[in-house]
Amino acid sequence: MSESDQPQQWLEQHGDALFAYAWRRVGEREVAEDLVQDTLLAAWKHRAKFRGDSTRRTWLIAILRRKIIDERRKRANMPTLGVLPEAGDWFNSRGRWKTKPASWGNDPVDACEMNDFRRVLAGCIDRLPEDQAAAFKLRAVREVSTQDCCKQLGVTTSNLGVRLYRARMALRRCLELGWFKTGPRSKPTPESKIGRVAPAK
Amino acid sequence: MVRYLKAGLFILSGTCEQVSRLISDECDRPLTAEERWASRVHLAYCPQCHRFRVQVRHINSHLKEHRLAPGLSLKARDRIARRLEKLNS
Repeated sequence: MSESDQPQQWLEQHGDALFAYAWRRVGEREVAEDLVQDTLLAAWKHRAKFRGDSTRRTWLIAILRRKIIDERRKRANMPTLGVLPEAGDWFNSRGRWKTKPASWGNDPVDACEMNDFRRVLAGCIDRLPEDQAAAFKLRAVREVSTQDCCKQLGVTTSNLGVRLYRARMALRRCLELGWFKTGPRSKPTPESKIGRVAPAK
Repeated sequence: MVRYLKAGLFILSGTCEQVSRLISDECDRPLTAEERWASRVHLAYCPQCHRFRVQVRHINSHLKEHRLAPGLSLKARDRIARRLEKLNS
């Protein structure tokens, strides 16, 4: 039986390569997996259109690229979380927390909610200001060394540290608003009106 | 002497703002001995910063799991295979 007769073989032969391609671009496992699924389903549906001018993988990656662009457009249209305070605004003049970090519980994310949590986390990363998101994706998601991050972003180590710090502060608060209920110890702030953040997809 | 006094003062009087920055920095670089002690001393009596540290680590743990898997997860593979089979039938 030829390759084109077996969709399972497409998955076996190209699944991991498509996933790696998508993952490098979107940075989140679940989103990348969904993109691979959409790509394979679309490709199988329209397999008659494959003329054989290129390899099948090139054709699949071309479809995947369009899916990634659609995914980015979708995310760009999502409602924004609102302006989170600058890092300095998290603390009062004596350097103490203005809004105390709320408890996330002993087991903050139930195993069955893991995927939804990661989507919210991905959504929060997307809502970070561009410079912080770029630094955070490089350093925390892709685990590029600090020195290489500085080289790629063209910033000093101390500047990178500030960006990452601000990103972590904003992410923590974003998750608190978007996933965890704000704890009783936190004082109400205007941002708490923003409500639950929609998952990234 | 002045240097040691300054370090001691920093260790004993680190604020939440300074220590939260150290908590973030320790994800990216090894802290100096002075910074480590400042962080330890402050965390011993500040539940908010301790909570912040747990939360930062929690976020990191989710991000690391993303990185660890080089290919499609078995769960995703099964799901895609089922969808393809359904489409094919």
